[in-house]
Amino acid sequence: MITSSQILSVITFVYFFVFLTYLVNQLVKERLSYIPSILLLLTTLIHGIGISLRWKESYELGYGHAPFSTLYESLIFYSWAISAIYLLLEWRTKSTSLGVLVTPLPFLALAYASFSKMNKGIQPLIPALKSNWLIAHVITCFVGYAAFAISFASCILYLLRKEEKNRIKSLIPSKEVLEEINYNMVVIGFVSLSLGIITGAIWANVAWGSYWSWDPKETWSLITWLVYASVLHARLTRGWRGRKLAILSIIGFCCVIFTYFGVNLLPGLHSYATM
Amino acid sequence: MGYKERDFWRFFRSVKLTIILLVVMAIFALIGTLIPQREEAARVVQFWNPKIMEIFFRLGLFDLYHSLVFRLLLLGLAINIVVCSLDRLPKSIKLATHSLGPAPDTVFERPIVALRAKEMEPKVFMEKLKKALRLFGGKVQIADLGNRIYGHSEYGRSSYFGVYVVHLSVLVILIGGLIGSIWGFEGYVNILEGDVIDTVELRDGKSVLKLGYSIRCDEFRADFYPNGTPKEFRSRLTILNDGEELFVRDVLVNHPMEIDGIRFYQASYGTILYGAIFRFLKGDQIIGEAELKKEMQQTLPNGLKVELKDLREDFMGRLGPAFLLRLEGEGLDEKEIWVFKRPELLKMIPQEMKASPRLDPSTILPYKVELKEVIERQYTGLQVSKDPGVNVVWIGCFMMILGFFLTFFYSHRQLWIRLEWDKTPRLLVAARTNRDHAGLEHRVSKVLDYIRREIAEREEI
Ligand code: HEM
Repeated sequence: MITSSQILSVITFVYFFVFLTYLVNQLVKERLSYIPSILLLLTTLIHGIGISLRWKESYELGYGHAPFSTLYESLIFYSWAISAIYLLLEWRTKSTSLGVLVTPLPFLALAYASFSKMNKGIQPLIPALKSNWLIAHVITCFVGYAAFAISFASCILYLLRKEEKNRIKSLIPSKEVLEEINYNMVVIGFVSLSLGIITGAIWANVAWGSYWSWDPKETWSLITWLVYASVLHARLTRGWRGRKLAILSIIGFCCVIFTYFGVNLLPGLHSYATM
Repeated sequence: MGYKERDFWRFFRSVKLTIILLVVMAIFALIGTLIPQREEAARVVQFWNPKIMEIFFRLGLFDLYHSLVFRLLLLGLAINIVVCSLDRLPKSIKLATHSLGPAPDTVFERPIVALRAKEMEPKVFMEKLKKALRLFGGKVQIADLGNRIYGHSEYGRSSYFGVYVVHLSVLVILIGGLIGSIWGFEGYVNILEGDVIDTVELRDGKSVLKLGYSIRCDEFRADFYPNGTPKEFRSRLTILNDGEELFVRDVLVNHPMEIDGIRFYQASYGTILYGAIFRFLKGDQIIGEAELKKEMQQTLPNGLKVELKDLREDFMGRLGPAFLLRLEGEGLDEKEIWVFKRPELLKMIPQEMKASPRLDPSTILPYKVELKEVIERQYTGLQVSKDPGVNVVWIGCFMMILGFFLTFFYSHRQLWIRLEWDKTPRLLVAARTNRDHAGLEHRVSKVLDYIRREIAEREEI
């Protein structure tokens, strides 16, 4: 019988392999066509099966809860959400060149989850985490973070891309297309993060008696939200589009990363802080 | 508008100001996570240099989120939103109500396609035209001008107002927060198992809230998983009015109890040292036992008066539970003596201290005291809070999400089809949207598929 942890540790290396196929595809001018995309789709499906299996295993252990309660589990879900959203984007835009920058992200997240010393076992839920709002909160937050990760990749590509000089037509999408991708990902991320903050507030109101208590993790998610709100408004202002907007979006993603990992250095209520 | 008002208006209308305010607030919030705030500050600053602490305190850096500067930033944002919305609303209303009329030839100056239509019965054609428009969705209108037939279908005019709903929602949430900070409160109460309370100490530390009813804690239970992780905390509470039992409630983490808008949350638990059972000897003779709680007094059969004057959870922070007894009796003047649960720990303190009269058992000779049993009682810690603004905040959150959907995932889309007869029947299709052109194309392509299959014969250049 295959266990979820076997699937998840194998998947880590598969993501690296998928990344290589995307890389090779760029180097040979997309002659591999849709092979990398199909590989990524299969990987994501198996990854999803791994998550479902972990859910099922928690019931066999008698704990019975959705696999979103520890840092390890959140990383597993985060990497899945990144590749799922990226696949949707690829399907909409029919362009595979962003894959070279995006596929390393689930690989890195999974590798960190697998090789660091964090607790990987299925843990029973402490009383504060026993809430359906928690499931809604974690899913919406991480879907938001995943969209921001892809926005980050598109901004990096935007900054790396040189202006076209009538040479052979480049495979990398034009700057306008990259801006469009960034905008769409910021919109999805912003709406999801807003939902994440709201469901988190509802949960806190039920569990701790106050919907907002300026706990560092809360505050950092608000900081992230404020930065991306300013990204949305900067886009409406002349003189702020292009390079500046890309940099502001990248700052936004740095806030995401700090909200996720950095806050654990500060004391607070969130459970990941103690794991 | 006067000169000054115009300047005010121009300043607060600007989206650049919005960007600056949002970024400044983000930086402000960031600083708040680096400097300890409120309770955290109270705990940490004792290790700080007092001069630096004084400066930080004066500047309000230990309570940034309630500081005047932060409130001014929020106020600025609110004015910014109001002014900006009022400034733009007329234009949006115009856009949302503007109509090109039943036969707009301007939109066909740049059609998406021009097709040669099949010859067919006018009635059949009308049916198919309607079907095509319905495929697009929205409100369908047809105008028959004899030599030209116009079909129009549109939806999503409300999308012009999505942004206003989002911005209004920010105001509603801020107002909800304000209501909570003015009329709300937060407090805390510990109830010993079996005890009854009718007041709650508020968090500002100054005031006490009279509940108007009383709460008895019948039982507190903490359950654990086999590996020691907490599983469930549960308090069984009985609500009483003038001693009469009204109802019983179980309060668990994530399952608070609400009475008249005041909510009680399971927040903590613990035990307190309550008293002890002592055994008294005179020489080697047992003269009696006494079960005492604080400030309780008892007289033993031989006339020895004993009183529990004080008790400590952890004497000097390392010697464990201790009880101060006052003894007075035949052959003994009034004496006080500390009795320890774990006397062996007394080895940890220096000899001179042990010589202090209240620690020295020889001072009460010929009497001796033994600690037979420590009595502890469990209490449940409840957080008590009232926030009349919380529902306003939820309404604001709901509006925000609704506004996002109107703004981002909905748009005003229009489709026009014109049939004209010159020598042959000719079909022109045009479409417009206020955002998301890719989405429009996707939808129009579905309609075009149908038209090419059912109505048109071939493309016309
Ligand atoms: C925390 C506060 C705010 C939030 C969450 C917020 C949110 C949004 C969102 C989601 C959009 C849509 C962006 C898009 O279509 O890409 C938007 C647009 C806009 N916002 Fe804000 N906003 C805030 C504050 C403000 C303020 C203070 C102003 C005042 C000038 C403002 C002015 C605008 C304008 C002019 C637009 C464009 C409207 C349009 O497309 O017609 N926003 N805002």
